Amino acid sequence: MRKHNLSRPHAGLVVLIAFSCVVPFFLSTYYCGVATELLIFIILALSFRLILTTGGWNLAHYVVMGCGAYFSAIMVRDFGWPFWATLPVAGLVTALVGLVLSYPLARMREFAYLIGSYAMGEAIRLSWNRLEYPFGGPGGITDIPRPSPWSIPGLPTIDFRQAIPYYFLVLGVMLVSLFIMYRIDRSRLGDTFKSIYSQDVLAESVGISIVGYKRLAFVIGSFFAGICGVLLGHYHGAIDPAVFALGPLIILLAWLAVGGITTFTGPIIGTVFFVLLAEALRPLGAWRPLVYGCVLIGVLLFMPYGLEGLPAMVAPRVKRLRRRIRRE
Amino acid sequence: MGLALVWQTVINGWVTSFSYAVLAVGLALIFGVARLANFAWGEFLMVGAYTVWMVYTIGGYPFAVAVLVAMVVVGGMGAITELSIFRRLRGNIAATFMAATGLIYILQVFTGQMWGLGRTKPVLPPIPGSLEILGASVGWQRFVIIPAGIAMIGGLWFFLHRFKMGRALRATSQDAEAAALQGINPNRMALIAMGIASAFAGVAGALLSPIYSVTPYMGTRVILMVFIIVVFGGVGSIEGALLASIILGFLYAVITTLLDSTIATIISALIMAAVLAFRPQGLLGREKA
Amino acid sequence: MNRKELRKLIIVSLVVVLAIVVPMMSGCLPGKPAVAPPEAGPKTVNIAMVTALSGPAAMWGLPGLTGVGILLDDVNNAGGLQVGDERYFVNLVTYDDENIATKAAMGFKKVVLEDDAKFVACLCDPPASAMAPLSTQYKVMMIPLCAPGREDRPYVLVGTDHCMRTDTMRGWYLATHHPEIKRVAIINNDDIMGKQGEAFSVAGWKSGGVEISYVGRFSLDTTDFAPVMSAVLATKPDAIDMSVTYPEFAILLTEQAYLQGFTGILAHLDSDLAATIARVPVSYLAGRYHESFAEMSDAIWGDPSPQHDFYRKWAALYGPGAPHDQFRAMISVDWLYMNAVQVWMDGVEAAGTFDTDQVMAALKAMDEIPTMTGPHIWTDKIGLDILGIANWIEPPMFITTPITEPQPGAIGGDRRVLDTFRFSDWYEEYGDILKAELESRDLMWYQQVAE
Repeated sequence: MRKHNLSRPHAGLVVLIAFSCVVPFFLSTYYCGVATELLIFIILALSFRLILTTGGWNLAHYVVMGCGAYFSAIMVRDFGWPFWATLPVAGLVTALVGLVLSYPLARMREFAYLIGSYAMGEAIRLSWNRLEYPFGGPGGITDIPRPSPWSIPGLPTIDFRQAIPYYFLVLGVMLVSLFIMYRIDRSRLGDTFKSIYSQDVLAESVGISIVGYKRLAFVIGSFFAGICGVLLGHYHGAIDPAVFALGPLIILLAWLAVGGITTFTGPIIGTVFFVLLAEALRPLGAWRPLVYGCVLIGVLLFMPYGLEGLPAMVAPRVKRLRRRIRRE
Repeated sequence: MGLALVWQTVINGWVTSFSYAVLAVGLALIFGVARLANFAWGEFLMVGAYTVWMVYTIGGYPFAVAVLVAMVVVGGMGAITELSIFRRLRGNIAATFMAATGLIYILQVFTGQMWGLGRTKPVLPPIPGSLEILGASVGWQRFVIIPAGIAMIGGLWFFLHRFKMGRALRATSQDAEAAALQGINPNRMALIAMGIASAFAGVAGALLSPIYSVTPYMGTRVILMVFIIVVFGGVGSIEGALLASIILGFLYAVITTLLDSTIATIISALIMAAVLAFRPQGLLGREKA
Repeated sequence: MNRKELRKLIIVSLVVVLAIVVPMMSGCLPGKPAVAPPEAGPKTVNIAMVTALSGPAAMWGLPGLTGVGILLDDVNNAGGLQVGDERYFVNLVTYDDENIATKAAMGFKKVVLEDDAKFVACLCDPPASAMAPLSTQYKVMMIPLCAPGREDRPYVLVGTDHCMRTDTMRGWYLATHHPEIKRVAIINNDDIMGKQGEAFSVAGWKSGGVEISYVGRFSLDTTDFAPVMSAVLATKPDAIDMSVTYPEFAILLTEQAYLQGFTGILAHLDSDLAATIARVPVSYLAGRYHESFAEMSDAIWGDPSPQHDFYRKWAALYGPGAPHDQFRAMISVDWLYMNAVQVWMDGVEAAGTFDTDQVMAALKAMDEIPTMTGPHIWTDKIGLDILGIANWIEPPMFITTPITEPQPGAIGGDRRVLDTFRFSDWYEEYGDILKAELESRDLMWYQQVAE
């Protein structure tokens, strides 16, 4: 029953990937950078959604991304680790942070989860602010280097300090990450995650360890958030605790609110829309956040898909799961 | 630590506790009755402070009048946002949370653009001077928060337990479905809860405006601690919010004196996390969150 | 395909189209400067301010637009900037970085690459350090209000702002003019500025032979200053220097000092006296309180003077009852960015070109670089000692005290200048004390790079 959906998106997917490969050559350096950031944010939005499918609006997610950023920045700049080795290690370290956070969080419900995750994220972020060594305190970490150039015999050197090479680096990581997350979403694991979303559903009664799965989702989501942090930190060359504070977190939530979270593509659409909107509205200067607020409230009140669609998603998934379990 | 400093810290602890208590109790009421995580709570406080600035400092009216106006303005703002925004999103915690953050942006930018940035808005303390208690000195304006807080929370408790409407609010908070079956309209309860709690926030903003610096961003400083307190005390429980305010308020004051307030905030967050890990409903919350 | 997938495809296509169109369009939106065609008369050049226009740090960025706006109006109304044989209107482009390092980096690229800005004024660290490598890469001059210069930042010109050095001068002045002060307490907020300010303040007071009884930094989240002041007063200081604490905190600290019965000298970088006087009687402040920023309305400028003109123009646009009433008095931020822009313009007019290397060379060749608050001078030796490079300029410094009655010759304001001096004179005699204080806090340039 699931198979027939795969053939249709393939054509659209190929077009989109081809477009992403071609577009940087038509963009100026600055807009290439906007596109690079956009790709990173897409990974972030989807990793957030992954945790969300188990019922958690994890407000520590942005700070978790920061853990990956800080880890990589410190290891590459101060300890001379190579970028390519640090990228997956940072993801694992961040996943570990996620695991630690998930211990208290996975047992919390609703409001407590929301506020608890925010508070714990802030606790981490305030520690970065407080400690000059190794986090650089409020000044953060600067002079984060790009990956070393690649010299492939026969081809011109690929210098990652240029906008286009780094864009393709991020694009590559994004495609791999999205592929993995998509497969998880479509798998039985993904179904289990979604069945947990609503606490008082029968998932518990069929013997699934809710807490265990919530933790797993948290760890996986945090891994990808860590990857995002590495890509972001090395792109800009500087990070500070304010990068991962409440303001940017709310924008992340806005991407998801706007795009919807029922489908895998929802967060992607929301992120692209919101980032482009933000760029287009730049001339508004100080008034811009007010427009964000209005758009956010407007979307929440009037858009038919997205948040409201969530309960409708849960029921058929649970039914399918119950049917499968009964069959076994 | 000399005895005078200890005593000073004790007094400061009480003042801190009640400053937070007035905010936390209102928020707990909204959580319980309207199922609303009003993340814009700090901005409600800010509007109360700005109202006092406009009525009292610019307009020259007596402070008591300014406080009343703040109560009405912010209470009204709460009712309007409940009717226009939050009512439609009832039941969806994340949606109400995000709508509240949208409100944050709107209120902060509008206030900043309309009345300028760069300096805080001056609000002269209506009760100048300080009082001496056993070698510790506390500004009257700051001290006054303790009796004001006791009066407001006491009044709320009285209302919730002795008045029919108050009992209806409590019923909705404890079990919304059962209350609805009894004929209590949840929307009406939510509106009343929002109105009362917002009025509280307005009074809190008014009382704190001579003490805190009045800027469009003053709310962001307190919101984290207030939420930690409400969740720690038990979502929806007013008694829990009060107890948590006292515990965490004291802790905050002591750690700030000994170390600094960043560490105080971190420790409060960690304590909250530790307690909630073992007791997810908080100190005095109900089993079903 | 079914309805749902069709809808998805339409949405995705729309988004893709937007992705192509919006970047192209954003150059045509209203509010963007229209560059005059070459044959239509004077040319236009863009300069940029990348600073916090929203968020809690906005009070350090947004007000800067007022002074810069007045300066550019004056320059443009006089026919524009003289660059060699041609005249250029100067246009300001802004970018809101919300005081965040990553946004500032993006912002620098935007204003330089997309808007072709020839000069960037910005706030402080962390954004300034994030943008500094880009300043080198794209060869665009950058003046932060307060951020360290470094050897690898040849186009970052620092020193237009008084802060830090003026804190040393204030401490030294009070120590040497008030012999009754034997012990001083120095308070700061807990951030980079606070740490630096602490070093500079301590050095100043020590050079005057005063003992430091208390040195501490409080968190930016502090709302209750009673415990802070209690801890300070427990060390029995004769003077309390609030150093570079943000004005909103200084108000509350001063109030606490008053409430808790402090009778010594109070000092601060730059206060909100109107708000302080709302809580503490002027009689308490008179003779006791000292700050370091001169007002444009002060009597020392004389009348008529460019400073008084600026004061009047500002009041007409932003003062009480004005069309853009800011509901506050003029503050230093209103003209600090303006001074930075003025320095750049001085360099461009002297060099006759926008080329950054030549502008820097022209500036270095100048003995004095005129700005609204006085001439800036080069202090190569101090720059080399503390920053590791010679790229440091120095404005004249002041010390002020609140006034209890209007000052003859002043056209407004709430304080008067007591004295003016040069930091470089102090440094010649006492520079080692400052270096020691900076080193013990890991603030010397060779400690920064090794981090």
